[in-house]
Amino acid sequence: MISNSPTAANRSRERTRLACRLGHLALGMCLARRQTRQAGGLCSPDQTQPRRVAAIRNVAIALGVLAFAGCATVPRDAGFPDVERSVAERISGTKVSWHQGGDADREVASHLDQLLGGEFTADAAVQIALLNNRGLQATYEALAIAQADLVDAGLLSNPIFDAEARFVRDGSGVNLDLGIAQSFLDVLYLPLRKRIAAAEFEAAKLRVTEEVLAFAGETREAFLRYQAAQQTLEMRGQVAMALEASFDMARRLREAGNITELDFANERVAYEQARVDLRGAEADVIMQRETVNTLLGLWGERSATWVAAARLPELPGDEPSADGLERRAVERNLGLAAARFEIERAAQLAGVSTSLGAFPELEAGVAAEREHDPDTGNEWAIGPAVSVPLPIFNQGQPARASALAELRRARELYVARAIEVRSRVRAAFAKTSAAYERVRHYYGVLLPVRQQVLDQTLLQYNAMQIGAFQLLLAKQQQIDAGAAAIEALRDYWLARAELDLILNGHVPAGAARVESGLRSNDGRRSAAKEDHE
Amino acid sequence: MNSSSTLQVKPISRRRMLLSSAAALTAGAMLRPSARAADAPTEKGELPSPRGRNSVDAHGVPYSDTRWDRPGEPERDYTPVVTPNGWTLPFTIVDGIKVFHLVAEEVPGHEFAPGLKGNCWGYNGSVHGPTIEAVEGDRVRIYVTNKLPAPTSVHWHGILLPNGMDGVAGLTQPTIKPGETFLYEFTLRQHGTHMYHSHHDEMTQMALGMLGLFIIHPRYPKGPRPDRDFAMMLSEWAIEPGTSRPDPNEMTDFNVLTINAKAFPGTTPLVVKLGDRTRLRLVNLGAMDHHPIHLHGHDFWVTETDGGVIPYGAQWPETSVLVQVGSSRTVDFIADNPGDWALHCHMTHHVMNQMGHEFPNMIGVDPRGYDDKLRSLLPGYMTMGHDGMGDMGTMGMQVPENSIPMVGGDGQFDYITMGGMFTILKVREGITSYEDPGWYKHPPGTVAHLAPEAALSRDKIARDGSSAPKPPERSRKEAPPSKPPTQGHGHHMQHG
Repeated sequence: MISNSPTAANRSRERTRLACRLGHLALGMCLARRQTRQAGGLCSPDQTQPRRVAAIRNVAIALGVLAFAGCATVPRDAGFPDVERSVAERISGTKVSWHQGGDADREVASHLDQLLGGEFTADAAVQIALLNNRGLQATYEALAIAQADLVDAGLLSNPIFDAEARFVRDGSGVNLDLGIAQSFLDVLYLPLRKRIAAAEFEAAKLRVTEEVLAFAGETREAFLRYQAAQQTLEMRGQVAMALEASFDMARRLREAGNITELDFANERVAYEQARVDLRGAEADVIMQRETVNTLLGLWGERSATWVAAARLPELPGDEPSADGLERRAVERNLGLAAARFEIERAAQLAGVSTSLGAFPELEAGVAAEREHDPDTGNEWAIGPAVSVPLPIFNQGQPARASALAELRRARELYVARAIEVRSRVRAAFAKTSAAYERVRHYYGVLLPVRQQVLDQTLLQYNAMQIGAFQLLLAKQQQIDAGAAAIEALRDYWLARAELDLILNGHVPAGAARVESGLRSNDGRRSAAKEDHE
Repeated sequence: MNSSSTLQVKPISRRRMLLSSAAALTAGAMLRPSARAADAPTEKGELPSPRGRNSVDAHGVPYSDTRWDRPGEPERDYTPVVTPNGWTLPFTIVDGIKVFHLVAEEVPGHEFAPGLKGNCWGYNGSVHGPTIEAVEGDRVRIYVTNKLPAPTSVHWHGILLPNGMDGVAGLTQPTIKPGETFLYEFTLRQHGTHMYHSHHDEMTQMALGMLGLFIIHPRYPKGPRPDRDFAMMLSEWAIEPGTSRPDPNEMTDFNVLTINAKAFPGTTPLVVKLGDRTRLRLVNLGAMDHHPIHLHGHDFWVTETDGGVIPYGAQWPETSVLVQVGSSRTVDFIADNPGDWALHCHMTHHVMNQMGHEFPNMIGVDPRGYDDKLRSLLPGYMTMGHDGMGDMGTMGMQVPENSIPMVGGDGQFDYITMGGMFTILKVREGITSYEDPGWYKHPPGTVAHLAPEAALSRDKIARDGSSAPKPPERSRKEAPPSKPPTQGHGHHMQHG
């Protein structure tokens, strides 16, 4: 999962430094004036009328501002259509859905029923998982968070109003100090801030897309493993049958007085072992099915009734082309695309910290003061106010150095990551090719030869050169070869799924050597992981 | 061992005799020392060779003597032997010497029986080699060309000849290299049923078929010649079903047993006319097994071994004659009992074709309900052998290519469940040729048949066997338990 919280923390810190907005500054001044007049009105009722008019005008302005502020709502779709399009293009024909209530959800539910109704393949399983997994729904909320951040970045920081009241000792009056201040640089850097947030939002969309891809890959793998486990169970059943037949024959021979109790017991041992193995294979199927259930988001009756296609798909006629393998993988890699946005963001930040270096904060505002004088009454004084940190001790070099380091770090990580993607796609391709050859050898050569062995064994049995036990042993060996072939086919599809995943933009975890994140706590996490490993 | 005095005296006198009577060799029969005289111990009490004195022939001529008699001619000097499924090697006569030419070569596709062919080695394109036939006193010159991929040599088994002609590679001659032609030449100083075979890498070359018959007819036969004289070479092979190369490495598990390199039903029957004076020459050059050859419907006299004629008084009657490895037995009889008579090795595993000796003992196993269950896993499975092997030949089961497992042959009444070292002697009345006359036409009432009701009731025989006598009560109590005891030996001994 993507952790957004450190980013958010960073952003709020930056915003404090940059916050500035002219419109709010003006509003702040209005309010200050109104407050001043109201305060004055307490003692001069004859000024009420014009003051009331002014008050009404000011309220209208305030409402307008509030209405304007109300416009800044966060859109609910939060870039999801982009994710949807990207996923459909990368896992061809696959739909994703963000459950938000309404007709769309009902449509999704009926589509799910349809998919779950019949025997389904790995493709369908992925589709079901994409529509039905609740964890994925949680992932989509990351989009909403990024979207909200983007909106947030488009808003000026709120002006700060401060008031001080001092009571005159004789109780005749109150001295007031009123001020309103707005961070001034906010205004200058708003477009920049928006660009950064937009980059962040794009990166978030890419990360979510990658998350969906990774999840689809995980689902495909689990489903293939389940299918293979099912087939292995079938094979184990056949082996048990063969050994039961051997045992049965041994029993008959023993009853006829033709073999020793020892030979009989040996046959029985083999059979009982096969039964144990069969139970193991059954348990494996159950475990694999539960993994699939989790990923498909199925529970209750639905988790028990779905039926997977009984056979793994056959080897496809074509292998993926090796042409432009690395280029394709790098171009399509979602992590790299996100990292490009992160570099951009880091570059922007570095630019900002360079120019802001000495004066990270600049506030301008208005200050008003009412002085109570028993003789002359209340005396108002009003004037502009500015606050500037003096770059005496810190001229911003550490912040600038840090930002530049972040940028360099992002760039280095990007290159490292790209190198890793290239390596991983080559490895995945090699693995797929090797698995392909292995499967082809199994199905094209080994299994036919095993069949030939069985056929010839049957002929030798017919010729009474060997007994039923040897014949059944040959059968058992043929089944074992079939089970090994299924494992090879499973391994091919797993390797192929990984290759497809990489070519579609996601390098699955596991062998990852380069952490993609820019955040230091990611670094700590990876260090911890390495320690653990 | 020989005494030098006999060596010096006897040959000289014989040579003189031969020189003086060269034109009248037929008279030699009268001049020949009698068998009885030859059998008699010498004055010094030494046992002589069965044929006479050591190193000299029955006429006192040493085996190294290069002089010879006029070449014997078929029909005039001997009745040629019949080699069933084989042939006799033709010869030419050059300057009074019979010249033969043997070619040692690979013989691919030799048919042991319909359905079983082997890639063998043999002579002159056949397995075994052709029968060499000659007459006592003949001088033979035998060229041997080696077209094998390996060196070879030919040993003239049982023939008394100069040491350097004996054909033992390494011991008496260099090997005949591939592509070379060797010359053997010697005078036949004896008569009898002999053989020739490779004597280099014997285990391999003999296992692959490099053997043949060498028949020497007597120059002066005692008594009448046989009307039918059959020569048969017995051998054994290891040919795994589905292979075609006999395995020379096999020591015990031979599965193709042959007469003249044919296994029944590949053997052609021996056809004789009723009353024919019949001779069977049985030679065993198999690797490891002796063969008691049994003839049905007749008894016979065992008259010769490859050591010579058994003295008349020592010949013995038999119906089975044991032919040991590396020896020959000749039996004579009058075929006086018409019919189709089995002639076979009496070792029961020797009348099986490609018997699988690793097959588990299935006799008495109850196969009910088993086959149907197993066929879902193994289509085409059938439990076999639970009531014996008798049906194997006729079940029509698909078997490995080039194999005839337990196949027998068709008989007049049913399937004959024997194969291997089995053939049929067909004795017929009034035949004019020795072509296969077909199945014997039995006179009415002379064939075993289903017992008719009238006979059963007349003789008080119950069809279900219940009227048959049973063993006395006492012996039944002593019958061994059908199940093995559950307690150990020691326990029994303590209480027993």
